[in-house]
Amino acid sequence: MDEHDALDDVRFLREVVERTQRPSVNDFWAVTLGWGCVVTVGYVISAVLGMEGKVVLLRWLWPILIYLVALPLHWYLVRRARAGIVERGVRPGFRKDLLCLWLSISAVGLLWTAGLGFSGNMTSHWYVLPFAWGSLYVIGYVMNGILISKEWFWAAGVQFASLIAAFLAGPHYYWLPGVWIGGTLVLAGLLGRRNVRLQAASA
Amino acid sequence: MTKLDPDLDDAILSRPRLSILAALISGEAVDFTFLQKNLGISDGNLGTHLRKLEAEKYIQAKKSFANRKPKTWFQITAKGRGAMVQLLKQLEGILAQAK
Repeated sequence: MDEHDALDDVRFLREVVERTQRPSVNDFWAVTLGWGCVVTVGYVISAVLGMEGKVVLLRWLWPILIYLVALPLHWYLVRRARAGIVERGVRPGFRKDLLCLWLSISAVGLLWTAGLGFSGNMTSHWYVLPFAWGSLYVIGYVMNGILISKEWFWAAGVQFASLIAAFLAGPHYYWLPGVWIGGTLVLAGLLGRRNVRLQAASA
Repeated sequence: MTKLDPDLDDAILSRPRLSILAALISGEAVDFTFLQKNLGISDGNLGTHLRKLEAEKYIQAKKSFANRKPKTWFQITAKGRGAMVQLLKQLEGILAQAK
Protein backbone atom coordinates (compact mmCIF):
# COMPACT_ATOMS: atom_id res chain seq x y z
CA MET A 1 0.00 0.00 0.00
CA ASP A 2 1.83 3.13 -1.20
CA GLU A 3 -0.86 5.72 -0.72
CA HIS A 4 -3.31 6.10 2.06
CA ASP A 5 -6.52 8.04 2.34
CA ALA A 6 -6.33 9.10 5.99
CA LEU A 7 -9.78 10.65 6.13
CA ASP A 8 -11.34 7.51 4.72
CA ASP A 9 -9.50 5.45 7.35
CA VAL A 10 -10.74 7.64 10.20
CA ARG A 11 -14.34 7.31 8.94
CA PHE A 12 -13.92 3.58 8.56
CA LEU A 13 -12.56 3.22 12.10
CA ARG A 14 -15.44 5.24 13.52
CA GLU A 15 -17.92 2.93 11.79
CA VAL A 16 -16.21 -0.17 13.13
CA VAL A 17 -16.12 1.22 16.68
CA GLU A 18 -19.82 2.20 16.49
CA ARG A 19 -20.74 -1.27 15.23
CA THR A 20 -18.74 -3.23 17.77
CA GLN A 21 -19.06 -1.24 20.99
CA ARG A 22 -21.30 -2.70 23.65
CA PRO A 23 -24.53 -0.66 23.86
CA SER A 24 -24.93 1.32 27.08
CA VAL A 25 -27.79 -0.79 28.44
CA ASN A 26 -27.94 -2.76 31.65
CA ASP A 27 -27.72 -6.43 30.70
CA PHE A 28 -27.99 -7.21 34.41
CA TRP A 29 -31.42 -5.57 34.79
CA ALA A 30 -32.86 -8.80 36.26
CA VAL A 31 -30.33 -8.60 39.11
CA THR A 32 -31.45 -5.03 39.87
CA LEU A 33 -35.10 -6.09 39.73
CA GLY A 34 -34.39 -9.07 42.00
CA TRP A 35 -32.75 -6.89 44.67
CA GLY A 36 -35.61 -4.35 44.31
CA CYS A 37 -38.24 -7.02 44.98
CA VAL A 38 -36.35 -8.49 47.95
CA VAL A 39 -35.74 -5.06 49.54
CA THR A 40 -39.38 -3.99 49.00
CA VAL A 41 -40.75 -7.24 50.45
CA GLY A 42 -38.27 -6.87 53.35
CA TYR A 43 -39.53 -3.39 54.17
CA VAL A 44 -43.17 -4.49 54.01
CA ILE A 45 -42.51 -7.45 56.34
CA SER A 46 -40.47 -5.18 58.65
CA ALA A 47 -43.38 -2.74 58.83
CA VAL A 48 -45.89 -5.52 59.62
CA LEU A 49 -43.60 -7.09 62.27
CA GLY A 50 -42.86 -3.65 63.73
CA MET A 51 -46.55 -2.79 64.02
CA GLU A 52 -47.22 -6.13 65.72
CA GLY A 53 -44.26 -5.57 68.07
CA LYS A 54 -42.42 -8.77 67.04
CA VAL A 55 -38.95 -7.31 67.53
CA VAL A 56 -37.20 -10.69 67.93
CA LEU A 57 -38.35 -11.77 64.47
CA LEU A 58 -37.32 -8.37 63.02
CA ARG A 59 -33.72 -8.99 64.10
CA TRP A 60 -33.57 -12.16 61.96
CA LEU A 61 -35.53 -10.89 58.98
CA TRP A 62 -32.80 -9.03 57.06
CA PRO A 63 -29.99 -11.58 57.53
CA ILE A 64 -32.39 -14.32 56.35
CA LEU A 65 -33.61 -12.25 53.39
CA ILE A 66 -30.10 -11.25 52.32
CA TYR A 67 -28.22 -14.53 52.85
CA LEU A 68 -30.94 -17.06 52.03
CA VAL A 69 -32.93 -15.20 49.36
CA ALA A 70 -31.15 -12.17 47.84
CA LEU A 71 -27.63 -13.56 47.45
CA PRO A 72 -28.60 -16.96 45.92
CA LEU A 73 -31.02 -15.11 43.60
CA HIS A 74 -28.26 -12.62 42.74
CA TRP A 75 -25.83 -15.46 41.95
CA TYR A 76 -28.38 -17.21 39.71
CA LEU A 77 -29.44 -14.03 37.82
CA VAL A 78 -25.84 -12.86 37.30
CA ARG A 79 -24.95 -16.30 35.90
CA ARG A 80 -27.90 -16.14 33.50
CA ALA A 81 -27.11 -12.57 32.36
CA ARG A 82 -23.43 -13.44 31.84
CA ALA A 83 -24.41 -16.50 29.76
CA GLY A 84 -26.52 -14.20 27.54
CA ILE A 85 -23.59 -11.82 26.98
CA VAL A 86 -21.20 -14.72 26.25
CA GLU A 87 -23.74 -16.02 23.72
CA ARG A 88 -23.30 -12.71 21.82
CA GLY A 89 -19.55 -13.35 21.67
CA VAL A 90 -18.41 -10.89 24.35
CA ARG A 91 -16.74 -11.95 27.61
CA PRO A 92 -18.18 -9.77 30.37
CA GLY A 93 -15.33 -8.12 32.23
CA PHE A 94 -15.12 -7.64 35.97
CA ARG A 95 -16.37 -4.11 36.79
CA LYS A 96 -13.85 -2.97 39.37
CA ASP A 97 -15.24 0.58 39.19
CA LEU A 98 -18.73 -0.56 40.21
CA LEU A 99 -17.38 -2.77 42.98
CA CYS A 100 -15.37 0.13 44.45
CA LEU A 101 -18.36 2.47 44.15
CA TRP A 102 -20.81 0.22 46.02
CA LEU A 103 -18.23 -0.93 48.56
CA SER A 104 -17.53 2.74 49.40
CA ILE A 105 -21.25 3.49 49.68
CA SER A 106 -21.81 0.47 51.92
CA ALA A 107 -18.78 1.38 54.07
CA VAL A 108 -20.02 4.96 54.62
CA GLY A 109 -23.56 3.72 55.35
CA LEU A 110 -22.30 1.10 57.82
CA LEU A 111 -20.11 3.70 59.55
CA TRP A 112 -23.14 5.97 60.01
CA THR A 113 -25.18 3.01 61.27
CA ALA A 114 -22.41 1.99 63.70
CA GLY A 115 -21.99 5.64 64.82
CA LEU A 116 -25.68 5.91 65.64
CA GLY A 117 -25.58 2.58 67.44
CA PHE A 118 -22.47 3.31 69.51
CA SER A 119 -23.71 6.79 70.45
CA GLY A 120 -26.81 5.15 71.94
CA ASN A 121 -29.20 7.09 69.70
CA MET A 122 -30.44 4.15 67.64
CA THR A 123 -33.76 3.75 69.48
CA SER A 124 -34.63 7.44 69.61
CA HIS A 125 -33.30 8.44 66.17
CA TRP A 126 -33.68 5.23 64.12
CA TYR A 127 -35.47 7.17 61.35
CA VAL A 128 -32.22 9.02 60.49
CA LEU A 129 -30.75 5.76 59.14
CA PRO A 130 -33.17 5.18 56.21
CA PHE A 131 -32.72 8.88 55.36
CA ALA A 132 -28.91 8.55 55.41
CA TRP A 133 -28.94 5.33 53.36
CA GLY A 134 -31.47 6.90 50.95
CA SER A 135 -29.13 9.87 50.35
CA LEU A 136 -26.16 7.55 49.77
CA TYR A 137 -28.19 5.61 47.22
CA VAL A 138 -28.85 8.82 45.24
CA ILE A 139 -25.08 9.14 44.78
CA GLY A 140 -24.82 5.46 43.83
CA TYR A 141 -27.65 5.71 41.31
CA VAL A 142 -26.16 8.81 39.66
CA MET A 143 -22.81 7.01 39.35
CA ASN A 144 -24.59 3.92 37.94
CA GLY A 145 -26.21 6.26 35.40
CA ILE A 146 -22.75 7.44 34.33
CA LEU A 147 -21.06 4.02 34.44
CA ILE A 148 -23.82 1.65 33.27
CA SER A 149 -26.95 3.04 31.65
CA LYS A 150 -29.19 6.08 31.65
CA GLU A 151 -32.27 4.60 33.37
CA TRP A 152 -30.39 4.90 36.67
CA PHE A 153 -30.84 8.68 36.46
CA TRP A 154 -34.61 8.11 36.74
CA ALA A 155 -34.07 6.00 39.86
CA ALA A 156 -31.79 8.75 41.26
CA GLY A 157 -34.44 11.38 40.49
CA VAL A 158 -37.22 9.45 42.25
CA GLN A 159 -34.96 8.69 45.22
CA PHE A 160 -33.92 12.36 45.44
CA ALA A 161 -37.58 13.47 45.25
CA SER A 162 -38.41 11.15 48.17
CA LEU A 163 -35.52 12.71 50.16
CA ILE A 164 -36.84 16.23 49.52
CA ALA A 165 -40.41 15.14 50.38
CA ALA A 166 -39.21 13.53 53.63
CA PHE A 167 -37.08 16.56 54.52
CA LEU A 168 -40.02 18.94 53.96
CA ALA A 169 -42.40 16.67 55.90
CA GLY A 170 -40.08 16.58 58.92
CA PRO A 171 -38.22 13.96 61.00
CA HIS A 172 -41.31 11.79 61.43
CA TYR A 173 -41.10 10.99 57.71
CA TYR A 174 -37.33 10.42 57.47
CA TRP A 175 -37.99 6.68 57.05
CA LEU A 176 -39.63 7.35 53.68
CA PRO A 177 -36.47 7.43 51.43
CA GLY A 178 -35.34 4.11 52.93
CA VAL A 179 -38.62 2.49 51.89
CA TRP A 180 -38.13 3.93 48.42
CA ILE A 181 -34.77 2.19 47.91
CA GLY A 182 -36.59 -1.02 46.95
CA GLY A 183 -39.05 0.87 44.75
CA THR A 184 -36.30 2.72 42.87
CA LEU A 185 -34.40 -0.55 42.31
CA VAL A 186 -37.58 -2.08 40.86
CA LEU A 187 -37.97 1.03 38.66
CA ALA A 188 -34.35 0.82 37.44
CA GLY A 189 -34.77 -2.91 36.76
CA LEU A 190 -37.99 -2.47 34.76
CA LEU A 191 -36.61 0.49 32.77
CA GLY A 192 -33.41 -1.48 32.18
CA ARG A 193 -35.45 -4.40 30.79
CA ARG A 194 -37.32 -2.00 28.50
CA ASN A 195 -34.09 -0.40 27.24
CA VAL A 196 -32.46 -3.78 26.57
CA ARG A 197 -35.51 -4.83 24.52
CA LEU A 198 -35.64 -1.52 22.62
CA GLN A 199 -31.94 -1.79 21.82
CA ALA A 200 -32.34 -5.41 20.66
CA ALA A 201 -35.27 -4.40 18.44
CA SER A 202 -33.34 -1.52 16.85
CA ALA A 203 -30.19 -3.63 16.27
CA MET B 1 -4.53 11.22 -1.37
CA THR B 2 -1.56 11.74 0.91
CA LYS B 3 1.88 10.17 0.65
CA LEU B 4 2.32 7.35 3.14
CA ASP B 5 4.31 8.35 6.22
CA PRO B 6 7.34 5.98 6.44
CA ASP B 7 6.91 5.76 10.24
CA LEU B 8 3.40 4.36 10.05
CA ASP B 9 3.15 0.93 11.67
CA ASP B 10 2.86 -1.63 8.88
CA ALA B 11 1.57 -4.29 11.26
CA ILE B 12 -1.73 -2.48 11.70
CA LEU B 13 -1.80 -0.55 8.46
CA SER B 14 -4.29 -2.79 6.75
CA ARG B 15 -8.06 -2.50 6.82
CA PRO B 16 -8.73 -5.89 8.45
CA ARG B 17 -6.08 -5.46 11.16
CA LEU B 18 -7.13 -1.87 11.84
CA SER B 19 -10.74 -2.93 12.14
CA ILE B 20 -9.83 -5.79 14.51
CA LEU B 21 -8.00 -3.38 16.82
CA ALA B 22 -10.84 -0.83 16.56
CA ALA B 23 -13.33 -3.53 17.54
CA LEU B 24 -11.19 -4.46 20.55
CA ILE B 25 -10.34 -0.92 21.65
CA SER B 26 -12.97 -0.87 24.44
CA GLY B 27 -10.87 -3.51 26.22
CA GLU B 28 -13.52 -6.23 26.32
CA ALA B 29 -12.59 -9.72 25.22
CA VAL B 30 -14.57 -10.97 22.22
CA ASP B 31 -14.66 -14.27 20.34
CA PHE B 32 -13.88 -15.17 16.74
CA THR B 33 -17.54 -15.28 15.65
CA PHE B 34 -18.19 -11.79 17.04
CA LEU B 35 -15.31 -10.35 15.02
CA GLN B 36 -16.29 -12.27 11.90
CA LYS B 37 -19.92 -11.16 12.12
CA ASN B 38 -19.18 -7.50 12.80
CA LEU B 39 -16.19 -7.01 10.52
CA GLY B 40 -17.34 -9.10 7.58
CA ILE B 41 -13.96 -10.82 7.13
CA SER B 42 -13.78 -14.41 5.93
CA ASP B 43 -12.69 -17.23 8.29
CA GLY B 44 -9.24 -17.79 6.83
CA ASN B 45 -8.44 -14.10 6.44
CA LEU B 46 -9.53 -13.26 9.96
CA GLY B 47 -7.42 -16.08 11.39
CA THR B 48 -4.35 -14.88 9.49
CA HIS B 49 -4.76 -11.26 10.62
CA LEU B 50 -5.40 -12.30 14.22
CA ARG B 51 -2.22 -14.42 14.21
CA LYS B 52 -0.24 -11.49 12.79
CA LEU B 53 -1.53 -9.14 15.52
CA GLU B 54 -0.87 -11.77 18.17
CA ALA B 55 2.69 -12.24 16.90
CA GLU B 56 3.23 -8.48 17.27
CA LYS B 57 1.75 -8.76 20.82
CA TYR B 58 -0.95 -6.22 19.91
CA ILE B 59 -3.66 -8.65 20.97
CA GLN B 60 -3.73 -11.67 23.26
CA ALA B 61 -5.74 -14.85 22.84
CA LYS B 62 -7.07 -16.79 25.80
CA LYS B 63 -8.86 -20.11 25.66
CA SER B 64 -11.61 -20.94 28.11
CA PHE B 65 -14.87 -22.82 28.41
CA ALA B 66 -18.14 -20.91 28.08
CA ASN B 67 -21.39 -22.82 28.51
CA ARG B 68 -19.29 -26.03 28.35
CA LYS B 69 -17.94 -25.12 24.90
CA PRO B 70 -14.30 -24.21 24.23
CA LYS B 71 -13.90 -20.58 23.17
CA THR B 72 -10.98 -18.39 22.23
CA TRP B 73 -11.22 -14.82 23.47
CA PHE B 74 -9.26 -11.99 21.88
CA GLN B 75 -8.35 -8.88 23.83
CA ILE B 76 -6.23 -5.84 22.99
CA THR B 77 -2.94 -5.44 24.90
CA ALA B 78 -1.39 -2.21 26.22
CA LYS B 79 1.08 -2.39 23.32
CA GLY B 80 -1.77 -2.74 20.83
CA ARG B 81 -3.66 0.17 22.37
CA GLY B 82 -0.48 2.28 22.24
CA ALA B 83 0.07 1.39 18.57
CA MET B 84 -3.54 2.30 17.76
CA VAL B 85 -3.31 5.66 19.57
CA GLN B 86 -0.01 6.39 17.82
CA LEU B 87 -1.52 5.58 14.41
CA LEU B 88 -4.56 7.78 15.08
CA LYS B 89 -2.25 10.67 16.01
CA GLN B 90 -0.33 10.15 12.78
CA LEU B 91 -3.58 10.07 10.77
CA GLU B 92 -4.69 13.30 12.47
CA GLY B 93 -1.31 14.80 11.55
CA ILE B 94 -1.76 13.77 7.93
CA LEU B 95 -5.26 15.33 7.88
CA ALA B 96 -3.95 18.54 9.48
CA GLN B 97 -1.21 18.73 6.81
CA ALA B 98 -3.80 18.18 4.08
CA LYS B 99 -5.76 21.21 5.35
